Amino acid sequence: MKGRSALRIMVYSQDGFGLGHLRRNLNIAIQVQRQVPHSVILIVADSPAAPFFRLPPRCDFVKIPTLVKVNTGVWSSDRLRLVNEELLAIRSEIMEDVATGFRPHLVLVDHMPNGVAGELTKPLQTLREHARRAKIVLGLRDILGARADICKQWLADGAYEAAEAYYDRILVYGCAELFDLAAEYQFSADLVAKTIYCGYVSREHIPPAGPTSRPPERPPFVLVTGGGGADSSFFMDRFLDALRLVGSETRCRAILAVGPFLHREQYRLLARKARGLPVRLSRLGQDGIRLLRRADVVISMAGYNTISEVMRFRKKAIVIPRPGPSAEQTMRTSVLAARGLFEVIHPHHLTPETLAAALAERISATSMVDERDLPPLNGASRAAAQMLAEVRA
Amino acid sequence: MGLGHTTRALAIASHLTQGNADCSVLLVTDLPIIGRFHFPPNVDYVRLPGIAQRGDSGRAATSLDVGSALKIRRKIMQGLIKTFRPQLLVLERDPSSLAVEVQRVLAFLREEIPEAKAVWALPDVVGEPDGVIESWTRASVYSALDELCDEVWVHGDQELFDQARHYRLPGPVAAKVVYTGYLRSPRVRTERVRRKVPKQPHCPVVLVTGGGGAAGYPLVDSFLDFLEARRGRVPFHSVIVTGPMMQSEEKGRLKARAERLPALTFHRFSRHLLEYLSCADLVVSTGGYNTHCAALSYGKRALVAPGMRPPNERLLRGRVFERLGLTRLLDPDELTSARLGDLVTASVLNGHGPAGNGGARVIPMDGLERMGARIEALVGAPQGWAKAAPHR
Repeated sequence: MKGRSALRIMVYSQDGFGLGHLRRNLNIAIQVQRQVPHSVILIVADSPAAPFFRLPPRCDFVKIPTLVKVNTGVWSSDRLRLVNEELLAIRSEIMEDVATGFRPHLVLVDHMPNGVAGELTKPLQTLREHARRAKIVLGLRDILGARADICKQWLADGAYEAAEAYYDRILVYGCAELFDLAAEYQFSADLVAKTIYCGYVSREHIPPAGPTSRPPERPPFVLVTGGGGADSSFFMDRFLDALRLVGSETRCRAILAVGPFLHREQYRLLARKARGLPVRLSRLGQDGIRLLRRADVVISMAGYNTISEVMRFRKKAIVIPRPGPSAEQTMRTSVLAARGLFEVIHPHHLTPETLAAALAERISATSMVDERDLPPLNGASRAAAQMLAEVRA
Repeated sequence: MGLGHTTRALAIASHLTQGNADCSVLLVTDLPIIGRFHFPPNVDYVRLPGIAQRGDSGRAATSLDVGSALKIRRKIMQGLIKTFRPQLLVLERDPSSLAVEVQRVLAFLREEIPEAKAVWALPDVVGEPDGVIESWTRASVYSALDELCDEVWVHGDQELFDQARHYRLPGPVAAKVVYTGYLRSPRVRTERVRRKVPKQPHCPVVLVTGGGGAAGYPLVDSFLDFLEARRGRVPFHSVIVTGPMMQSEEKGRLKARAERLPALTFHRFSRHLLEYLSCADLVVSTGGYNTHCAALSYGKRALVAPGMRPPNERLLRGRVFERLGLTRLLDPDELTSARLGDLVTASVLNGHGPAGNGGARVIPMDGLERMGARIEALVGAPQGWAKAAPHR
């Protein structure tokens, strides 16, 4: 890192339709700026809703044309009438332009070592040739998916070679004792040596809630959250059925945080069904952290950010993992539920009755999570510190 | 690009792609809140790093130093020309702001894709002639329009404001000017916003909009002063949309006051602004181009209070429309809460003041259709819109 010039960090955040990766990258970016106050961060994102979140000062973003994941390894242009090669060439070109124009000291690439269909290969090569001192770091969430799927995809994409050729460091936003990502996905000795586990990343800049100050006469507050919301209506719907089932001894009020991407028609159906119940709908979704902090019980899917925050804020939770197409969420819930960190309902067993029973149980449960069972939850600040150590090395 | 430019660019993109499933439009913008917009099919966007401009406090503070932001922007725009290979480039931005940047991009387009067409699109009125001539001369806008553009579109009407004459366009540039007419706002369904405002006609609705929001504070401030002086007892329901680019602190102050008043709906940004416009009885605005178009399209009585001292494009536009009896202009010096309140009340109670209805017939509102026809003339009929041959 050069003497007095501000530290420049470029982040590649591939989201397709959602916002989860962007949220996680932003959590890390904020910690980088806490540790190096004058650092400048440029995020390259492809979510159509980018930036969506309020960006901190000295953090700006570039949005590239959106590609949506249709299936494992299959991508398609979201909007433009272009064939994939054309769209990938545009994305690749922009990333190379940003890399050469911004001249980052460090590049953080989220979860795809050479981007979608190798779109990052050329920008990374250019960086390696023209900015030899720039450090390149790969960030991977705790669990990527089923071993067979991920290994096959990484082989087909040339992701292993890219990770070996271009990256100085691999940061895993998880915990090796819970899930040994490097072993699971058959990393070579070279990749294993580069890998560091940082713990779970969440919004560390938001202080955890203090002891609940809810007056005893106020009914407990249940937050039902579906992340981005594109596919969460099924369990929101079940929740409304469950709420009609729970007896009068289980008083509660609920907010359905349906997320910005829930289809308008589904929203209307849910709103109609919620009439007469102590339930309010909110479009905030994943960004509604104030809701999460206040909640007495959280019902959610098992997306990375939601689970990290449920753990960080020590919430009593009922988790319904997304059944597919990727096994990621079912794997995450089984690893964490084994430690008793939350209650799990498998989607196949999700009925109004099972949910109502779990809800009644969680509301009345007094036991807090045992701190010793929690994985490290300071992943954002540790990832930031690791990145800064790379730059200083 | 400001909010108004982006809104116009999206309207054009939407019109183009509606008529032709093979047409792809890539919008390039630096608007921070671009992700909040609804994009029509076949339209995607690329967002460039922002450049904070003086007096443009509403923009997100930019992270990068201006030098590297400009460099990245230029590289991205040139990269897009090389890879997206547009057949048509429409510039929907102020020609004298960051003039060098745009001119370099245009020159690059000429060199890289000689057959591609470039069009500069301007609103009906750019500003007071003296100021415009001076800044266009300083920023070499005249030579850019002459050498680098195939056409200049003015989203207005020559009879109302003759840009070629007022801005002293040289002959060859004047010959490229196409007056497209104003852009008609789309028909909108109003059920959603009607739920938030009382049913007409028993209670009229007054919409107060600060446009993008950067310059909307004085107007909303005066309007709230008036409501407060009446303790909210007025014979209408108010809807205030400050505009998303208003500084958070200013918005916070206004919102706190608004919350203490009855019969008032307050937004910083609303995706449903057009819906509100179309069910308002009176539109009170700072006089931006898009608000004018909506008031004309929906036949609304309009009161314009630019709230800035001249030279000012909104004041000039307001005067043009006031002469036609289409709008009532409140000069910045006149903008007091009492005066504003009198005009609003008179308009609401007695139907005083001009109504856009009558005038909409004499103002050409088919700008989108005429642009569609111009594009066809420039790059051929839609069926022939094959992509430009790949480079190399």
